[in-house]
Order: sequence, then structure tokens, then C-alpha cells
Amino acid sequence: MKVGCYIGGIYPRSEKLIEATRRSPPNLAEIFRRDKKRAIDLQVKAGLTYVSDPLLDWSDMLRPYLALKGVEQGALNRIFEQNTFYRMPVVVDRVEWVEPITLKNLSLDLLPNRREWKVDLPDPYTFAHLSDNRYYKDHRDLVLDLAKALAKEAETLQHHFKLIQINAPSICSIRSRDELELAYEALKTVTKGILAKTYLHLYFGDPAPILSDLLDFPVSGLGLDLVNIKIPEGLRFGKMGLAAGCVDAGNTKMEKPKKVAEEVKRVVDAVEPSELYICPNYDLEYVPRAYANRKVLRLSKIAKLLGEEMEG
Amino acid sequence: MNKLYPTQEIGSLKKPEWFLKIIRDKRVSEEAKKAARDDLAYLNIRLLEDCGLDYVYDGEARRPEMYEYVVKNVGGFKLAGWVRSFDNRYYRKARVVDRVTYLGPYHLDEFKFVAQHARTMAKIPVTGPYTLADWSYNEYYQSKEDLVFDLAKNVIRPLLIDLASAGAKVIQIDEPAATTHPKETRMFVEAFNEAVAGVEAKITVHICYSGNQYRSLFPDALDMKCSQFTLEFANRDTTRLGLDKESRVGYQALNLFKEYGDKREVGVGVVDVHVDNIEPPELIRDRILYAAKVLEDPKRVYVNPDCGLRTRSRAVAFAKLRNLCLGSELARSTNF
Repeated sequence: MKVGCYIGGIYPRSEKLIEATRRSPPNLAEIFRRDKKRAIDLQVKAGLTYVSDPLLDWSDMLRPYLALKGVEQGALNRIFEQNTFYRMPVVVDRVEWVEPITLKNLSLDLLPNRREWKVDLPDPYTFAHLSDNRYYKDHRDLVLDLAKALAKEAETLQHHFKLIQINAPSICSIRSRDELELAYEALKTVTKGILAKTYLHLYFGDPAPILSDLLDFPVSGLGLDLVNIKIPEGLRFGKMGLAAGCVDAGNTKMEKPKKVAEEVKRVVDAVEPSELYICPNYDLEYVPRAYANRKVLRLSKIAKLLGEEMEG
Repeated sequence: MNKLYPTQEIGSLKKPEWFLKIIRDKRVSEEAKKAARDDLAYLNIRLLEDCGLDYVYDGEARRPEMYEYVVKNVGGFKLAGWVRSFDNRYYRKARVVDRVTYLGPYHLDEFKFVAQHARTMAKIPVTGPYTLADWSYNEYYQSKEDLVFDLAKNVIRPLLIDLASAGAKVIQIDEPAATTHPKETRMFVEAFNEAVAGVEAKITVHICYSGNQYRSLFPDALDMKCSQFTLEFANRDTTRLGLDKESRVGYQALNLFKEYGDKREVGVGVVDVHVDNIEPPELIRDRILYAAKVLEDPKRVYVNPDCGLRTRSRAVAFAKLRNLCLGSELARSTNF
């Protein structure tokens, strides 16, 4: 089995950039680009399988999508149990896709041509869950309209990116059959006919009770927070890949690559996924930049150790 | 306090540009910086008293921020770097790399200064053990619980005892993280009680921006050894006048006190600290009267902003506080 690695979500800004955003100098956009370039160079240096835009200019993972028709910016709200806040999308009219959003908010020209790229996209069920719905009488209609809009996004992304990471923290807390089916249906709309690999990332909650159902979801693989959850015994991934979130984005403590590699190997032996990627458990923006940089190098080392063992 | 609807500030005020220039200037001597801190503290005390507040402090003039100041003055912490709070707002987060230790009464000098200069009652804000732990990276302790309790018993409690011995009569424990992790509410409550054990002062607790409108606090909060909950409500409320439930939609969490039979005081947030709009005294009056109606006893109602006003300009902050005091006067002159 080949072992890959990648990072997802928003990467932390450097202290220099944070300082610059306070002063707002005329060349702020250029300072952002230089900082992005440094973060991308690190991914290349670490040998990540897929390189991604570090999204340093995204205020939160939903902010660019406030450009969808029918969605407005709302009040600050806590991101799950983090001490970081996002602007809650307020749905005031029927949600419709008008033009590409994700592509418009990426710096594709900074990504290296000789490497394969990945990108992030919100899961429609999670988007709806984190929004203030003031228009739809039925929550289901909102989820499915968001799915249609995000499917258009996926269409525009598939020709540029080899892997689309679909961020779905809200799915972790689903415990009812109806909601699970709704999340499935929405996701099916997004991933139908998409050429890129799609990985559903689950964090900020425990998906263990619904994991056997998630193995049938229409995606190439599941991204799981192995730092904080345990995969129930007896599950086999079969055709599903595993993105093992084994590097803790919630703590500055540095992982010991050998120890983590052994732990991941035990999981892989138990669940037998079709392929394996090593990842942080969620966005690295929850640790300061210097620590994030070190963690990127560590996850690459973990992937290398596992690769040596599993690729023979 | 015998007065109905006593008024109080929560803690922080924005630091003026002249002050920041002095503090950030490496050429300025430490003596001159200390003098600037004294000047600002004195100015804040006078301005807060001029607004008509019954309880004042110094606007946290000497603290860069409620978390960073503490971790710099307690053993076992090391600053790690900047982490986003929201948008372009960042705060410095620390790592716990050793056993946390009390290095001395880090708020004592500022308290003595306030006590010396305040004409009204001083209420000192102190960041609580649960929030300090929750906002830090734990690299040393086996569990978060171990860290929280060590902070409570061996750092915050000695500080509170030192402050009370120096004459602090009212201490506000700031615990904005209290409701972040609903499953940890019991840990928060027990650590809080460890921190205040044996402290001879009136203890209040300030909790804000919970995301679940304080529901996760109960029933565990019933066991907390404090006499007042100082909470935020105004940011969720309408700006319509009136004492009806729809107009006062932001104050529905007060019903939790009724639901659980908690008869303690509530410091009711009546101005929103995240908007520049200055709430008129009549709106503040109605918010106070509505709180008194829900709590079924006007003597239980204290009046304060939702949180510290440090994100507002000083002009806006003082205008809000002046109206807060005027609104309280209007409420006092209304028959309950």
C-alpha cells in the first residue's frame, strides 16, 4: 500500500503577517502572497503528496461562500468547542450558485506546476448546520440547495485538483437515520461524476457510532481524527481510503514519528483501507505558525516511516 | 449594597494611543512607563466614577490582556505564539511546559492603587483556573483536569487570599471558557470551588459568549460558591422598548435561574460591547425591569455591560456606561 500525506483547511499566519494586518499597509496583499508562498514551499519541501493553498486570507472556512445568492453574513459564533469564532451565514433567500467561488479565492499561480494539488470544500450538511436559516421552512430543502450549489463548485475544481477534501464536522454528531440519509443524499449530489478523489473529513466530534454507515458514503475516503477518537473494532474499510488524522492540530506538543507510525499501523492493520494518507486531525491554524511548520515536517516523516514498512 | 440596581463595570477598557506609544517605545525608561500606567489607571478610575458606577476598577490599564498578563506571571507557562480569535484578531497562547506555580500576587500592586484612589467600591477581575487551562496547550500534565485543579489550588487560591488580605472586598472571577465544553461543566465548577475555598471576600463569576445561552451551566452551577453570576444578554436582544418576552428575547436565559430555583444575584448585561450603537437609557431601564420581573426580586439585579468594553473606542465605552447608569436611575424610579 502506498502511503501519502497532505494538510487541509486554514494554515496559521506568520507573526509578520498578523502584524501587517493590524497596520494595513498598502502592500498588504503582497505580504499575504509572500506568506502563502512560504507555506506552500514548506509543503513541497516536506514532500506532501498533494500541495494546497494555505488559505491565509480566508477568515473562516465558510466566509467565501457567503457570496452564494441567498446567503448573508451574520454574527460571530464559536467554531464547535474551539476558542475561535466564525461569522455565521444567514440564509435569507433561496440558495443559488451564481459563479465560481472557491477558485476565485485561491492563489493558483502560487501552486507548483510539477506537483499535484488538493483543495477544501465545505460539506453541505455542515454548512446548513452552521448557518442561521431564516428562509427555508424545511431544513432538508436548505441542505439540498446547498448541495446543488457546492456541486457546481466541485465541478469547477475537479480539473485543477486531484483531491477534494470535504470538511464535515457536523456529520460527526448525527445520530438519526433521517439526518444520516440527508447528509448522504447531499454529499452524493456534490461528488456525482467528479473526477478528483473526494475525502470526507470528520473532526470536532465523535463519528464512531455512525462510522459503519459512513463507510457507504459516496466518497473515496474518510478523514478521521485519530488523536481524539477510537475506531470501533470489527470495521473494515474495504474500498474506502483512510486519511489518518494523527498529528494533533490542537496542541503544540510535538508528535514522536516512530510512535505515531506504530499506532497508525495498528489501525490500518485492523480496518484495512484501500489507501492511506497521513494528515493533521484538522486545520493547523489552531497552533501558532512555528509549531504548524514543525508538525508538517513530522507528518511527512510519519508517512515516510509507514511507507517504508508498508510498501516493502 | 442597599441601593437598588447597583451598577458595575466588567473589566477592560481600550488603551488610548498616547499610552500605547509610551509602552511600546523601547527608548522610554521603565520608570516613565510605570508612571504612564499609573496615569491611565487613575484616569480610568475617575472616568468610571464620573459615569456614576457603583463598582469600579482601573479598566485593566496594566494588563495587556486577561490571559497573556497572567501566564507571563505564573510559573510553568511559556508563550507559544499567536492564534486566531476571529477575522484578523489574534491572541497569544501559551504552552504549559512545567508544573504551574504561584510566583507572587500578580494583581496586588494594581489592586492597592485602585483601593487607594477609588471613591466607590473596587471590584477586581481575576482570570479563573478553567479558562487559563482551556486557553493553553497542555504539554505537561497527564490530563486537563490535573492542570485545572493545580491552577485552582496552587495559583488562583493563593492569589485570591492575598488580595482579600490586602482588602479586596469584591472579586470577580472571569471564566469566559466555562461553557465551551459542556461535558466539562462539572470540572469547571469543582475547580472554581477549590479556587475560592477559604477566601474572605464577595465572589462573583463572569461568564460570556457561551454559544448555548448558559444552558450547559445548569444544574452544576447550583453548587458554585459564588454570590453573583455576571452574564451577557444585550447582544442577543432587540432594541425595542418593552417588558414583553418578544422585545426582551435576549434575556430568556434568566429563566434558568427560576427553573433551577437559584436565588443568587445576577449581574445583567444591558449594553452590547461589540457594537458602537449607544443604547438609550429607556432601553436599558426596560432590560433591567424585565430582569427584575423574571428573577422575581429587584434586589437580585446588578447592572453591567455584557463584557469588558476594550473593543470599543473610549468615547463609545464611556457613553454606553453613562447611559447604563442613567437607565439604572430610571429603573429605580419605576415602581416594580
